Amino acid sequence: MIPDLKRILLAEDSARDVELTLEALAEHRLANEVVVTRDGAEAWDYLNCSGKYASRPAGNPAVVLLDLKMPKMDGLEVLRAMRASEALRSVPVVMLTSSREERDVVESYELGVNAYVVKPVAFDDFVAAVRNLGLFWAVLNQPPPGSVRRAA
Amino acid sequence: MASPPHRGLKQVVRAASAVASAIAITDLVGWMTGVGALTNLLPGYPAMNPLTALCVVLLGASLGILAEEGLRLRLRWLAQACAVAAAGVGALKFAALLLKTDLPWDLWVFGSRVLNAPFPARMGLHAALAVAVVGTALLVLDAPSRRGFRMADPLLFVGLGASLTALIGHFYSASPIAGGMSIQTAIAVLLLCAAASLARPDRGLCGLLLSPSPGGVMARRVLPVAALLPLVLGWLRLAGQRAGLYGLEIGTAMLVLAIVAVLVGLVWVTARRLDAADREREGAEKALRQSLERQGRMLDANLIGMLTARGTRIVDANPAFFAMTGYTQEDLPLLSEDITPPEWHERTRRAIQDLAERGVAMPFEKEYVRKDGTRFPALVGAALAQEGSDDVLAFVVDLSAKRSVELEVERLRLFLDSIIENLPHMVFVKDARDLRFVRLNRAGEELLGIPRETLIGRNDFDFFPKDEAEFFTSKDRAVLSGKALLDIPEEPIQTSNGVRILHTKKVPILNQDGSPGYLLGISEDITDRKRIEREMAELHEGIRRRGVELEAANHELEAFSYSVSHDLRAPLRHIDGFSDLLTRQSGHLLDDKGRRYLDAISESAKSMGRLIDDLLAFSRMSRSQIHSGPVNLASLVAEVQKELVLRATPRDVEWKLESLPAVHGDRGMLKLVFTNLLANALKYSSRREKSVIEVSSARTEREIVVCVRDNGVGFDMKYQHKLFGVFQRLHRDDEFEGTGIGLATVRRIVNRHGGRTWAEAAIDQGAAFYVALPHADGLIETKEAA
Repeated sequence: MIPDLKRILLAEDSARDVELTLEALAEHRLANEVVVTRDGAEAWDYLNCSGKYASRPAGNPAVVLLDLKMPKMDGLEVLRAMRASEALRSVPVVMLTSSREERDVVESYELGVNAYVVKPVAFDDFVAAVRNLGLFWAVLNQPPPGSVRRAA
Repeated sequence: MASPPHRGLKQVVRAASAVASAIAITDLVGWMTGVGALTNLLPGYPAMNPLTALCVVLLGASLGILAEEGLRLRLRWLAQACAVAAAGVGALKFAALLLKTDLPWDLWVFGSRVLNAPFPARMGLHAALAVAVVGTALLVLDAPSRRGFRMADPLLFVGLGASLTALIGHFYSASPIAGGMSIQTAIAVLLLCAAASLARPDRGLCGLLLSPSPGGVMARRVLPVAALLPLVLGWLRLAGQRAGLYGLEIGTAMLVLAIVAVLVGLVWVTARRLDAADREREGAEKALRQSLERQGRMLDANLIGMLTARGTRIVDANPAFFAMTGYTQEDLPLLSEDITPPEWHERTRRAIQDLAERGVAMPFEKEYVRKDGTRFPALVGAALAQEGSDDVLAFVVDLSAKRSVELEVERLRLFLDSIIENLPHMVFVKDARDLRFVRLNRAGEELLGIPRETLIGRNDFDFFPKDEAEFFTSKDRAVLSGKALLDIPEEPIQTSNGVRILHTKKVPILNQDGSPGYLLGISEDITDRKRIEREMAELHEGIRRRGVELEAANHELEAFSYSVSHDLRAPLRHIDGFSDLLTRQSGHLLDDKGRRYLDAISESAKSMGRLIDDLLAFSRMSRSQIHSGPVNLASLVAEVQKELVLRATPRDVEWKLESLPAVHGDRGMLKLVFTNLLANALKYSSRREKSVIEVSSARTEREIVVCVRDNGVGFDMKYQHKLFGVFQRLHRDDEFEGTGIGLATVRRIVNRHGGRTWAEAAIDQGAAFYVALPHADGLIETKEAA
């Protein structure tokens, strides 16, 4: 199966969170636009068309949603690597995380994150937050050149 | 007091009297026995009359008594009686002979033998006169003399003359001159006269003969020659002429020539001797005069005060004495006790006693009172002008200048002493030669526990263990030979108070020639300081270790809360998320009960999420740094109130916000404090028709106390100890919702500001929460482990 080129890259190690996130995006019909990777390393492979994603069509996602805590490469490492990469530097990144820890927030912004979202415990709130994110970054925002555009 | 020559004279006197008496007694024995040879020594010459002999015996006895000082005192009367008897007999017989009257006393007892003797034996004119004058002379022998003349002398001369006349008469066979006096009588009288004169050698003719004066020298030299020379030469001339060697004219010429030659020679020699002696005497006089002049100048120079006194009465003094005492010549006589302060009377009295006993008072120091009442110290010495008199010569030296120097020296010494004594460190001095202690101050005595009397004069080996003493001594030697200060930062020493640690500086004290004289040591007892330093080091090490541990614990805690905030919330989110999804997708398949269960699951998950959030916030707050600054409480409280009003459901609340002071603290944290307190006040008064919330403050000496009071449900004071604990609640969740973290946060923040929190309340009477914050200057951040 040749993976499709999607507009949203989600990196999330928790299967339940993946499901809930997709559920929330589905409410706004954005679910099909999402590529799910289960750890940082996999997300990095996707972004660089390497590993199992070596054969995917070229192009960057319109937005990358990164969980902070992940096996192999965590969210901050992926972010740092992206900001160091010529090709990926301008791709918008949203940190989606359970943590309210100040140092995570500070570090994320220092590395050039575009938004930082603490996943609320209440699902309603979570849905609202994801919807806002998805709408803004995937739909309203004018992505940098080379990004996947929404299918008209 | 008899001098030795005089004692010799006494023997002579005694012998002479005895010989005279012996002659007379022999004569008397001759008369008694009729042995003519005893009464008449040379045939053809007169014999000694028994009465004359008796008189001679009486005179000899009298003189014998008078010559003995001891006897003289007790038997003077007997001597006088003998002398009177002899003198009376002699005088009467002499008078009778002059008047050509026969007084036949000389025929007494032996009358017929006297008359019938083949030689003249009656008592003659010469003998009577001699006995009379010698007796009289003995009577007046001790009569006082006037200007060296004594009455006995002319009498003795007469007696001497009579006896010599008789002797010369017999010698030259010129019997008429002899006056009928026998040879024995003449010799006896001669002896008595000489002895009587010698019995009182200090007076009269004999005094002159024995004196060392030029007169005495001349008399001794010339008199014997003048008396004996003509006698001998005359006899020689006569003998020569009788032998027919020469005629009368030539004999006489030769006699005169010889006499002139001998006398001229004698006078020439004597005069030369006298002249030399006189020159010598003049030289001595001159020296004496010069010496006196020098002494006089010394007195006149007024270097020292001089005075003369009779007893204690000062009758004369020199200007120097007047100058130092302020008295004048007109004030004399002065009494010594009047110018001596009372406390010096005793010493002065002792000096006067010495003066009386030994003739001198050795110089001593005393004080005098000047005329104006002030005093001055003086050195005084005195001597008697003459032995046995009370004429005193004294000198007085003013010691004021010396005394003031002494006082200054003494004052300086006391000053230095008190410095050394009061120094809080041990000060000791050792002599450089054998390192014996010569000085130790009070701090040293206390430190060593050795009194200075024990220490001084001994060295380290007498007090300290051998190795310690050797250490000290080697350091001492090093200082003295190096002639430089040595600092010994730590020096253990064995004392009676146990081992002490000293910080000692040793300094060489050099003599003027640069050789070491003494070793000065100054030791500070640093035992306590050392102990404190050690304890401090241990304490610091403990604190450092604890800090390391604390940091590790903090790290762990951070990691813990980090993972809590990530991993504990995720399942809750899933619980809520999936129960919500279940409700949406399959809600219609469930009955009401089933839907209520799903609600409960969702609500519990949310509630636990809040608990975790609050707990994490609390933990974060505990660990975050305080950024202190001035905080305007009034505006802060107003801000909090506004925010609460915005968030809360609209209801009737009366806010009483008094003017609040500025405090010192972390604004963000203090805002959290008042947010919690005001939110609580709102929450617990929400069941009142009208909430009344009052914020007031009071200033005490050390703190600013802020009180937040409400009219809510209050609480039972017996649970107040639980009030500020984490997750401690006094109300059920369905009465008033909450996590139980708010007041714990308040207390933690206030504690971290160095303040206090407490509450007062009663059930249904409202509650008052107090926050006391220290004034800015007293603010100490109390470190607390999270």
